[in-house]
Order: sequence, then C-alpha cells, then structure tokens
Amino acid sequence: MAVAVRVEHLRKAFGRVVAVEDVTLEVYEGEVFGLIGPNGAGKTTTLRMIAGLVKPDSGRVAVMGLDPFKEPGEVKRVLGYLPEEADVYTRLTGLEHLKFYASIYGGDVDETVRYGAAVSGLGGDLYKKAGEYSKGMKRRLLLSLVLMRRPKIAILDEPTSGLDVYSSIKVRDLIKAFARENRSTIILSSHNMLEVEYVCDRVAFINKGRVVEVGSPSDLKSRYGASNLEEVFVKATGG
Amino acid sequence: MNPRAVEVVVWKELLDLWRDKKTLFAAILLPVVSMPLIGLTVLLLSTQQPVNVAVVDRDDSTYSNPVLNVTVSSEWLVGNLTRALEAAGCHVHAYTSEPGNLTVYDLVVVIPRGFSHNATSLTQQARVEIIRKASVQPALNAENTVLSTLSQFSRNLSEVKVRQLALMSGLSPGSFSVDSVLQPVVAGPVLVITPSGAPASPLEQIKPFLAKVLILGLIFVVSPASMYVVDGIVGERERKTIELLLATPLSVSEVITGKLIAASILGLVSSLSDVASLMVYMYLIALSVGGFFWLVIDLKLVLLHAVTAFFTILVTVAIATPFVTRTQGVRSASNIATMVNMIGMALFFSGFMIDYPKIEPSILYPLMAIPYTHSILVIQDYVYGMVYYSMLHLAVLVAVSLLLLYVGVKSVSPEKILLAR
Repeated sequence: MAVAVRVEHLRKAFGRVVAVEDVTLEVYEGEVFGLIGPNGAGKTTTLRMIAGLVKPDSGRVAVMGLDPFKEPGEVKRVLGYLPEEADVYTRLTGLEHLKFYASIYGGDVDETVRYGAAVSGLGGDLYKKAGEYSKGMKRRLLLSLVLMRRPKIAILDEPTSGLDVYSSIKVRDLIKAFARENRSTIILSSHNMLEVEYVCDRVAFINKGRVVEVGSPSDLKSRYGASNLEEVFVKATGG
Repeated sequence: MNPRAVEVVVWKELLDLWRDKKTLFAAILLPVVSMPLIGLTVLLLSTQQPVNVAVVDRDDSTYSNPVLNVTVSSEWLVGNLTRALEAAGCHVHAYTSEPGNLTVYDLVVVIPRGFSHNATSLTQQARVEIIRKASVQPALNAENTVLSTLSQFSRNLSEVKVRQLALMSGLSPGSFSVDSVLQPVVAGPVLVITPSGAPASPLEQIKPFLAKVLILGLIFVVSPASMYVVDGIVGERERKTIELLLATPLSVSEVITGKLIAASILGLVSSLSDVASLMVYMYLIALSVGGFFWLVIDLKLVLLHAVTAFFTILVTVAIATPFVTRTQGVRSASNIATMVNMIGMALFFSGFMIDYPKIEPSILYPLMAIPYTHSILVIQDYVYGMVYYSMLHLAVLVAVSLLLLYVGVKSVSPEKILLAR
C-alpha cells in the first residue's frame, strides 16, 4: 500500500516540557488511522507538525512525499486539518463559512459549497449565524469546512470532543461515510477507545510523547489477549 | 503573496466587521464625538470655575482739575470694572477699604488714594494696582478683562484731555484729530498672503487651522484600528478560530495582511467620519464669517487626509503586529498597541500646536525617522503650498508602511501565533 503520511523520529519541546519525544508512523492511502492516547500524550502536537503548523525540533514529516515546511502551500492543498478546539465566527452564517473557506481554495466554489452543505447536514440552519448553533452543529459545520473540498488526507483532532452521544454518533457516521465515498486518508486523534475501534482501520497508541503500539484494532486485541482497546492500551503502556 | 487570497481574507473581515455594529459604531462615533466633546468640556468647566475678584476703592473720591476743567470719579472706574468683570462671569466684591482676608480672592484690583486727582492731572499718571493669584488660569483671564477696561477708561479720558487742551490753545475743533494726537503711528493695513504670495481671504486663513485639526484627528482614527488588529489576531486565537485558518493554503502573510488592510479600512471609515464632522464645524465657522462653505473645505486636502490616515494606520498596525502576535492575551496585546498609539498621539498633538515645516532641519530630520512625522508633513506642507514636498512625504509614508508591513508579517509564523507565550 502507498504511504500517505510518513513521520520519522519527531521530537518537539516547548521550553523544558517535551511534548513529543520520539514519534515514528506510517499512514497508508485510503485508511482511517487513529492516534490514541491520554491527555498530554503528544497527539495534538504530532498532528500540528504533520499539518505544518508547528515545526519539529528534529525528525521528518512527509505528506504525499512533500515536506510541509518546505512546500507548505502544496501540502495544505492535499491536506485538511480540523483542530481540536476550533470554533466558528459567530457573526457569519454557516453558508458564509462554507463560501469563505471554499474561496480560499478556489476552483468551482459553488460546487464545493454545495457539497459542504450536504456534508454538514445542517440544511436551512446554514442561513443562521453560527453563533446561534449548538456545539454539535458547530462541529459538523467545522468538519464540513475541512471535508467539503474532498482532501486526499484529512486530519481530525478529537472530532467528537465535548459532544453529546447523539452528536458524536452523527459526526462519526459523517467521517465513515466520507472516507468510504472519497477513499481519502483520515488521521484522527481521540482518547475515546470505543470511538476509534468503531471508525479506524488501524491505530497507534501514543503515551508520553512516544508511539508504544501500532496495528489494527482486531490484531492488537488478539495480540494482547484483550477484549477491547482500553485493555490493550493499559497493557501496552504497562499501566 | 497572492492578492486574490488577501482579498478573500479582507472580504471575511469586512463582513464580520459589518455585523459588529458596536465596533463600527465606536469607530465612527469616536472621532465625531471626541473633538467637540473636548472643546465643550473645557468650555463648560471653565465657566463653572468661580473667580472671586475684589475691587478696593481706597480713593473713593471725585476730583475736578480746575485748569483743564476735567472731572474723574473713582466710583466711575469701579462701576466700569464691575460691569466688565461680571459680564465675564466673575464674582465681584467692591470695597472702599481693605477687606480682611485677601486670600479668598483670585484677583484684587486696588484703586489707590489720589487716583482721581492724578487721573485728571497734566503732570501725573494715575495707577491701579493688581494682585493676582499665581497658577489660577481664570484669574489671568479676569486680569485681562481689568486691563482692557482700564485701557478703554484711559483712552476716553485722554480724548477729553486732548479736546480741552486744544480748546485752551485756541485750535478750532475741525483743525485737529484726537487720534492723530493720541496715536500718531499705527500699524496697517496688514496684508495676509498665501504661501504662493496671493492675498489670503479670511477663509483661506482658516485653512492652516483646519489642517491642524485634521492632524489632531489622526489620534482618533489610529486607536480603533490598532485595537481591531489586536482583536483580529489575538482575539481570534482566544476564540479558537485562527488555527483552522492557518491550516488552509493561506500563508500567514496573507492572513495578517488581509487583517491589517481590513483594520486600515476601518480606520479610513473613522477618518471620513472625522472629516465629515469637521466639515460641519467648518461650515458653521464659514457661516459666522459670511463665507462660502466649499471655499473652506479644500476637497484635495480632505482626500489627502484620507490617504494619509489610511497609511498612518497601516504603519501603526504594522509596527504593532510582530509584538501583538507574540503576546498571550488580548490585555497584553492591547497594552502594546496602546504604547505604539501613544507615540502617534504625542506627535499628532504636537502637530496641532507646531508648524513642522518651520522646524530647524537639525531637529526635523531626526524626527523623520518616526513615520508619523511624515503623516504630519504631508498635510502641513500641502497647506503651506509646498505640494511637491507634501507628495514626497506621502511617498515616504507609503513606502515605510509597506516595508514595515512586509517586515511585520514576515516575522510571524503559524507556530508563533498559535503558541505565543
């Protein structure tokens, strides 16, 4: 299988705090890849380095063979990134959000907006100001901003974080449907093991800035003799 | 940098700004309200300061000069002084002897003994003593009223004396003029000319003042624009909207430039509102001097002011950007923006008081290192008729603002914006 994202020995420290110690990963084209770990494990920093937003102290990142820090424009065109704590412009409507982000990328803006509107599933609410949206609606809008131009690779940092059960299910279904329909590569981070098991083809456990295990959920469960990924994580990290 | 990408950011910023009625309202209203409010406050407060004046008539007499046949009463002077001072809003207390506590008065006017005698004399001068409290501005104003009343009193008395002397010397009333005796040399006519040498109309004489007010007005347009930039960068980080934007193919330069242009457009709106309000004031002045409104409002000057305001704002926000993007919160970013604004305020205020083109080159040239000096010179040189130098300073201002914008945006990276400490 062709490699979509290759990460080699990434390290990043902020002052004395080492956020990422040593992360090496390969994500294949067309797969949904989960990055799992507790809070502060280094997931967000790793994803930001892949997206070219934070420069690693050492190590290499390649996105479709491109270096995000040498060719940021090209990488950002093949990649969509949804930050964990992203929020909306409260005074803009959902539709204006779609138009704004579609205009940044150019091409057939109307077609991109139409697809984004369909992905969001917000219907007539797209004409309302985003400040009036519920948390779940905001998350679906933000997700549609990333997915509407059908990126080859989508990085979703904690896409269901802070959402209620119903909103989480909608977002998860949206991600699965998108991946199936577009054969895009999706990298998502989460500390919700059930979510990852439901959505991902392969997962990597990350703890204290290091990758401790990589594999498909079923392989990992059988390898560790565990009934779910939570047990695998505890055993893999020696907790 | 892709202009189309910058245009997309500017569109979003302006749409967001258009819906932010409070910010827009403040940007338009601040310059409209600030200047008349300052003037009105000063005027109102100055009239609310009670000025206590004591007029002490120690002379308290009337004397007729038997030779000249001229009579003066100290009571007449007390009456004149009281009317003039009360008309100026002073509290006047008249005494014929020394009041017990002089310290309660801001100004004391003493008419000494022998005043009436000396005033009618041909060999003596009558004097009036004035005691004024230091550091009390209204007392100084009251003193000016006293001096002006005394001057008028003296002039009237001189006229009477001259007429009597002429009569005594046998001159017929039509053979002499009182003015030619009292003021044999006078200045005038005073011809006021424009910098090009043409006679200046009263309305053209107002233009330099208008230019100075326009310079002062830059203070009120720079502040809201720089605060908008603080909100646009640090505020977006706090509202968690910047990271998604930085993950798009837009470069940091394009994002920041778009925001700075939007901020400058906001400043331009402020500046136009500033000019519009100034036009109303000048219209009223023009009416009061019987002139025509459009003669006062030089549309080229208005346009020049708008362009200068735009680039002055761009300079301000460009200077603040590298610092603002490195601060953690809106509060500290606002402090930095305020510090940059303060430099502008100091210079623009001095531009209201001082004619920069008249400053010695040894002082002016070092001042030119500060971009705001060029903002002032663009307007003042134009009013002085030095259009070439005005355009030259505008060119420098544009070049410096674009250079600082380039340096400002190049010094910022997504990481610095996202992870400012």
